[in-house]
Amino acid sequence: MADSEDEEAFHSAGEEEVTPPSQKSEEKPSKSGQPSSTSSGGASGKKEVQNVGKPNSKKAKGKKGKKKKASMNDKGDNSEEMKGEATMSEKDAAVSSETDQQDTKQQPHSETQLEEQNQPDADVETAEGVKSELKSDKKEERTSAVEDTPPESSKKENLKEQDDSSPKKEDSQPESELAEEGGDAKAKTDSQVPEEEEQKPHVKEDAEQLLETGSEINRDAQGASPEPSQDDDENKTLETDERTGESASASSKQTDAAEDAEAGGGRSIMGALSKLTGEKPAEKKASGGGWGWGGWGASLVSSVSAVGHGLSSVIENVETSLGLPKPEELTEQEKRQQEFIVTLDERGEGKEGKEEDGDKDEDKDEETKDPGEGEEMERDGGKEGEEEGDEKQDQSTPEDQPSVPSSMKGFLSLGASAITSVVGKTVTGGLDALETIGRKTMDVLQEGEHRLEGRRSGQKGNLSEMLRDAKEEAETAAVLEEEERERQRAHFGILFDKYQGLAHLEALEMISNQSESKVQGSLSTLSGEDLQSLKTELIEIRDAFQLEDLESEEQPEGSEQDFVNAITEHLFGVSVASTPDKLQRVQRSVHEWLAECKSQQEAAQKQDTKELHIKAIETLAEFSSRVIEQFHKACELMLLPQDREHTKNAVQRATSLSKLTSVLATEVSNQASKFADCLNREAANQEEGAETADVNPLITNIYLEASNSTSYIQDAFQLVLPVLQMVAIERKRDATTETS
Amino acid sequence: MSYAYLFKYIIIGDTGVGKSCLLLQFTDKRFQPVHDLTIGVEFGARMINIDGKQIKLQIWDTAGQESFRSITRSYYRGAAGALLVYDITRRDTFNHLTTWLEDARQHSSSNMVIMLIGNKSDLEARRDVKKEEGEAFAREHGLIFMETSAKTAANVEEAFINTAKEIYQKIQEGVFDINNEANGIKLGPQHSPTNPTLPSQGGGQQGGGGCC
Repeated sequence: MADSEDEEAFHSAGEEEVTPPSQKSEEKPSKSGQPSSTSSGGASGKKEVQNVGKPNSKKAKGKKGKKKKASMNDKGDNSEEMKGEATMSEKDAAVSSETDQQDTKQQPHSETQLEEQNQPDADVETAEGVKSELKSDKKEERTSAVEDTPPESSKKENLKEQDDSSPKKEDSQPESELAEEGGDAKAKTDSQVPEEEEQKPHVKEDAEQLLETGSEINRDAQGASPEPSQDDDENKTLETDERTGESASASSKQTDAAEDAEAGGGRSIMGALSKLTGEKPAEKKASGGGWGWGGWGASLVSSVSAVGHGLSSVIENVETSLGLPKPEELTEQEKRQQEFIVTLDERGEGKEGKEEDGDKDEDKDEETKDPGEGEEMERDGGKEGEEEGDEKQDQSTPEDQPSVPSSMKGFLSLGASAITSVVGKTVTGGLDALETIGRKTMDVLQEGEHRLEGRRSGQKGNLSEMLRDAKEEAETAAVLEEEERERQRAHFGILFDKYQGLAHLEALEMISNQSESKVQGSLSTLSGEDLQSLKTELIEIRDAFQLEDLESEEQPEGSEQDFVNAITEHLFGVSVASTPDKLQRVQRSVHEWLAECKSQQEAAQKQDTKELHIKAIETLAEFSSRVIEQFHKACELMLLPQDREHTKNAVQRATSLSKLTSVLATEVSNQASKFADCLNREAANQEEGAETADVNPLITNIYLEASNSTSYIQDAFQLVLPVLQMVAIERKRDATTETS
Repeated sequence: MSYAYLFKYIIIGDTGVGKSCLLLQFTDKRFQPVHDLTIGVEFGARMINIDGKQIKLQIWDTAGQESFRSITRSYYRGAAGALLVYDITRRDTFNHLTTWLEDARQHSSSNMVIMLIGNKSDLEARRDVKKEEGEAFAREHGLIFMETSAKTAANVEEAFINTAKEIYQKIQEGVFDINNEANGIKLGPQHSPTNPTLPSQGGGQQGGGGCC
């Protein structure tokens, strides 16, 4: 990067250096007047004094903080994030406990990151962010190089810087991720990795004497991962990613700290703390007088658990707190909230935030979801193992501390109880509202997007992931739907219904059942000789009414004309005034189609096997529908009163009907085998191998549906029998009434 | 295609009043001036949408000829709705309504929704039955009434859909027992009362697989 830029950065940093503390000290007392805020103001002042030897790095830091803030402000998330911090601590714990899971998820991400990185049209903001951060990094390097005179301190600073810089980069990411849905921001991180790595060795060398402090922490944090900076970074990326929708950026720093603490134990907690507050001297002191700090740490733990209680009570009391509070309460709550923001601001070393909390309801909502979810996740994480559970315990400690540390110095003597009450109140006051708003928002969101429901409780509390999943789900659903449509196009049952075959079958069944009951009724009224003669006649009809299955198989494949002749003849044999128009039309068109197909195939024109299959099934469905319609119509006509004048007796009719059914069944199998031939030819035309394998199930399916079709036809045929018998009985009755 | 309900309709009325034309207009949106005499019963089906629910109407268009009367009577059973059609240009078709109505009431479920239709409303010049008469008849017998024209398609959709709405409302009121198919209502393959939030693809598969 050009020197001029660095210079610029430097200057700007210098300017900012002045502003943040002053503003802080102005704002805090005025808005809160609470000890914690003032103390932090004091803390920064103290810092200044203690760090005289290294103003540059200080500046750099201040500048970085500012940068971060600025980028946050662009999105207007800042204060929410800050507020959300404390609540998120739980979630963070869960997040890091789930790191293992994340690691697997992370892989695909990093690929996209690389791609995105290469894209020139990366988000402007992101680009800027990178630039500014690079600037600061460069500057730090330079600072440490130039200011080798007070080596210890500068090195330390560098160390700190380094520690800080990575989380800060992370910090700015969630916002851009918010807008960009992930990728770009991560790309940013990646781009920074080399920088950091460059920097690290240098820092580490210098800092070797200081191993007991910052670098140790650093290492500790990295201890779990083989690749120090990269892995650390990735973890962070993941964490931020996890939280993308909820814009938990501010806490990523803490998460970082939490990680440190997790690995490094008590001392690293302190390290993290001091990192958070930016108090090197304190840290030094801490490492020196570890026990005193340890004791303090212990009291912190207790305060944290108190805060935890506060949290749970908050969650329990959401409804009550939503109820109209008194004006005094309201103002008090507001005040508390502001305090809270201030406290959080200090942590982030920023100055903005509270001014903006008005127009951030949306973001707040998003964020407030976290507490509840965090709990869930934590609970879930608890199952994962004791170790992780312990880690969480540890994590929650440092993470809740942030609100404490700033006030810590001034009020160390006050003891844990005071801190606890302050923190408790603050957290409670701020969270009440956020929690409720968040829940409501979630309800609204879930109402609109049912797909998102359940996923919320599915412990994958990451909006981008959720949306990605929802999208994928929708895509698969669309594919399935498409397949389903395709399948339905070739589904015999559906097509059979489409051609009204099912309706005709149903209607046929109705009149058949009715005839059946009439036959039974007639039999019950008769007795003696009449009954015997009727029974004999009915049995004769039934005997004639048998399908000669084997015979039909042996019938030679008749021509189209043979078929028409045969069915006309047989229908005439049934002596119904019904012409098989529809049946003939279907049959003719099928054969025309098959012939056309054959000629096309012989002309080496490619046919889609799938389409052939669909056509085959469609044809079978249509043909059998028409057959059933024919049977249905025949029955209806036989039942007509004028039908009784026909001369043909029932046995003759039964025989004709049987033959007709055989012809029709043969026709079905003819068509099926012709379609199968068609498919086989197609397979032969195309390359051997994959295509043939593709065709076989289709052919099998055609034969299957052909047998299906035949069984429908035979069922329909059987339904005609009672009608025939009924007609015979009525005729007989007519005859007897006539004679008598 | 998946649907929530299937309603069975029957169309009844004297021969030549335009039953088959009404069906053709409703299902195919076309008009055929010369129509073959219906033998027994013919069928038509169409999907409609009521309250965001897909409903399949399975329509049984019966023969109006006197000789088919005994056969068509057997088809009344299991109908959820009936369109009782007369021709506004032929008073005798109006006069026969009582017989038809008796037939329908006798051979079908008592909850069957009956829509009285005065067809051929396009032939205003040849009108023989006043609209008021039709309205009065419908009021008297508790029917829904509408004048339609299968030729111009006037009110045809409305006639079918309003009947379906009435049936649907009866279902909501619990008058119809949807699990009793004798009422002429079938649940669609997709419809699963125990799990209404079932994703559509699951229901589709179910429907696809359940047919054979």
